[in-house]
Amino acid sequence: MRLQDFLASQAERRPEQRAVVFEDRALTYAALEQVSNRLARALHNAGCERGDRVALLVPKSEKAILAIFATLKADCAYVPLDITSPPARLVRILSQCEPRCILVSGATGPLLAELIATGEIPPDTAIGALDDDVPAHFSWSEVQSLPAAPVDSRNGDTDAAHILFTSGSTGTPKGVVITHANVLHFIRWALAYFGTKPGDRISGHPPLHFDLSTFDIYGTIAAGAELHLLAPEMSLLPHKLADFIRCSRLTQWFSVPSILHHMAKVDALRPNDFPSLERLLWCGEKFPTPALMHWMEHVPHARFVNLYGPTEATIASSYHHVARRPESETEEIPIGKPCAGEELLVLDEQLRPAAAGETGDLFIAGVGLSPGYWRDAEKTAQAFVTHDSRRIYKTGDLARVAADGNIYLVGRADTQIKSRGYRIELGEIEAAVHAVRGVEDAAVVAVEGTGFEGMTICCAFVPESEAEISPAALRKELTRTLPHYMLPARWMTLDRLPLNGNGKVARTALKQQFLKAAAASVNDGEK
Amino acid sequence: MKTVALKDTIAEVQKLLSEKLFIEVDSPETDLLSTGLLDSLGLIQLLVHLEEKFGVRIALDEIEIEDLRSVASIAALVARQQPEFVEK
Repeated sequence: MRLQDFLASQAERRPEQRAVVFEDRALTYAALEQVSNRLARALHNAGCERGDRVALLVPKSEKAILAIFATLKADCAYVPLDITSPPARLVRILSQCEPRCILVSGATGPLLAELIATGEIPPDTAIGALDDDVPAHFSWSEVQSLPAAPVDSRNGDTDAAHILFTSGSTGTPKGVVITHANVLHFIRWALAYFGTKPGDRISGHPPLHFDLSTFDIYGTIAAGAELHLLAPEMSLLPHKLADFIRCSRLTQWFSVPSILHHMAKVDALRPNDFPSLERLLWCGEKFPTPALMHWMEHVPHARFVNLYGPTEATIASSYHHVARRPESETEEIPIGKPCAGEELLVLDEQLRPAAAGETGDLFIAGVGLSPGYWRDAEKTAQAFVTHDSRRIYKTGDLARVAADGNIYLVGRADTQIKSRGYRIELGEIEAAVHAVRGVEDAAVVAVEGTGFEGMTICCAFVPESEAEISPAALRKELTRTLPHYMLPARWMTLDRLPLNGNGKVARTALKQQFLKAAAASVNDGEK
Repeated sequence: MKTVALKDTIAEVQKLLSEKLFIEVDSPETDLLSTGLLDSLGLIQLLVHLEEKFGVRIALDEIEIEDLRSVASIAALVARQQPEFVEK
C-alpha cells in the first residue's frame, strides 16, 4: 500500500466529488487522479526514477496537490520548498536533496530564475512547469497531452514519500525523510479515531512544507472528503479565517495554535460559531489555556483535540481529547497518550524511566519514526538511538508523566523554539548573524512574547570597531539567508556580549535585558 | 484646508516599515504577502504605528487582504481613513 493508492480507490468510488478546493477552483477525485497520472508520466519522461526527489517550487494551490500525488506515482519523494525563503537558503536545500526535477508555476518562475542564476542548480536538473508561461523541459500543455490512464508505480511503503527540511542548529537546514508507511499508520489511526467520512470538509491551513499538511491531504483523500486549502496570506486577518470556516462550512480544522490564539485575541469568533465544525485539532505548540477556553465557549459543539508530534515522528505521536472546558486559565493541557502503534517515553539521563511526576527527556518509539535525516548519518545517530533493542527518537522536549498516565510538556532541553508554529533552531539564526560582514560577535535568544505569537526572537550583536551596522541594515542582510519567520524582532547593539563565569555567553542575563527593554518601551508608549 | 498627497503617504509608510518594522522594500509595489515580508505579528505592529503616525484607527476586521499587498496599497488604505486626503 502506498499513499497514492488512497486516491486511486476514492477516484473509482466517487469520481465526480470534489477532492480539493482552492479559491474559486476545485478538482474532482477523477481530475486529481487523471491529471496526476499525466504529470507522473511527464516526470518519468523527464528521467525521474524510483527514489529520486522532486522539488516543489510551487505556491500552495490545487496544482501543488496534483504535483504531490504525481511525484508519489512516479515513485519519487517530494521536497516542498518554502517559496518565501531567500534563494540562498533554497539553494542549500536543493544542493542537499539533489532533485531530478523541480516543478515550478507561473508565480515562481522568477524565483526559479534566481536560483538558476546562482549556478548551484546542476544543468541536468529537469524543470517541469505547472503553467504555460515558464521556460521548462515540459510545459503544462505537454502534460495535458499525455495519457490519463493509471501509472505503473513500483514504490512500496518503505519508500520515502517526502523530505521536509527543518531548521538546523549548525546553520544548515536538515531534511527529515518520511516514508509512505510512516504516514499510512497515522492516517489509519486518525480516520478511525476521528470518524472522518466522505462529505467532510477539511481545512488545509499549514504550508505544505509543514508535516501537519500531510494529515490534511492524505486524511482527506483517504476518507473521500473535501480538502479546502487556505491561501497563506489569509492568516494575516483572523476575521477572514473565521469567514472561511463559516463559508466553506468546514467540519474539521487543524492548525498550529498560534493562529487560533490570534483569532480568540481579536474576538473573531461569534457565539455558537461554525455550526458545521465537528472537531478542532491543533499541533506544534502549546495552545494557551485562556484561548482554548474562549474557543470552547464559542464553539461548544466541537470536539477539541490536542495532537503532539515532531516531524521526525510523523504526523502526531500522541493525542488528548479536551473533554470539558478548563475551569481555570492556569489549567495545563496534556499532550495525552500515544496514538496506536506509537510509544512515548519519559527517561532520565541514564535512559531509565523517570519517576512519575519527574521531568525527563521525551523519546518516541513506534511506527511514525522517520528513517532519519537525509544523507546525514551523524545527526541521525545522535537523534535516533537504540534502547532496549528498539529505535527511539530523542525529541529534545522535556516532559513528565502524571499519575493518570497523561504526558505533560515542560519545556526544551536545547535552544530550539516554536514561533507561530515554525520550528526554529536559534543556532541557525546565530550562524547567519555571525556570517554578516561587520558583525564581531552576536547571540540570539528567545523570550516569551506577550501576544499570540509565541516566542519572540531577540538578537544582541557587537559591531566590528570600524563598522557601523544598524539593526535595520543587519536585518536586511539576514533576509538574504534566513526566512522571514526566523528574523529577530528585537535588537540590541552592545560593546561586548555579557559572559558568565566559564566564559560563555550569559544567555539568561541577555534574556533579562531584552525583557527589561521591552517593558521600558511599553511604559514609554503609555506615557 | 490641509491636504495630503498619496505619494507623501507612500513615502511615510515606506519609511515607517523600514524604521519600525525593519522591512525594506525595493519599491512601493513590492509584494509584501507572497514574499512573506509582512506576517501577522508585523501587521499588528504596523496598525499601531499607522495609528500613531497618521492618527487613523484601522480595525482589523475592516481590512481586505489586497489592502496589505504593498506599501502603495497600505498607503491607499491610510488615505481612505483621512478626511483631508485629496487625490493628486
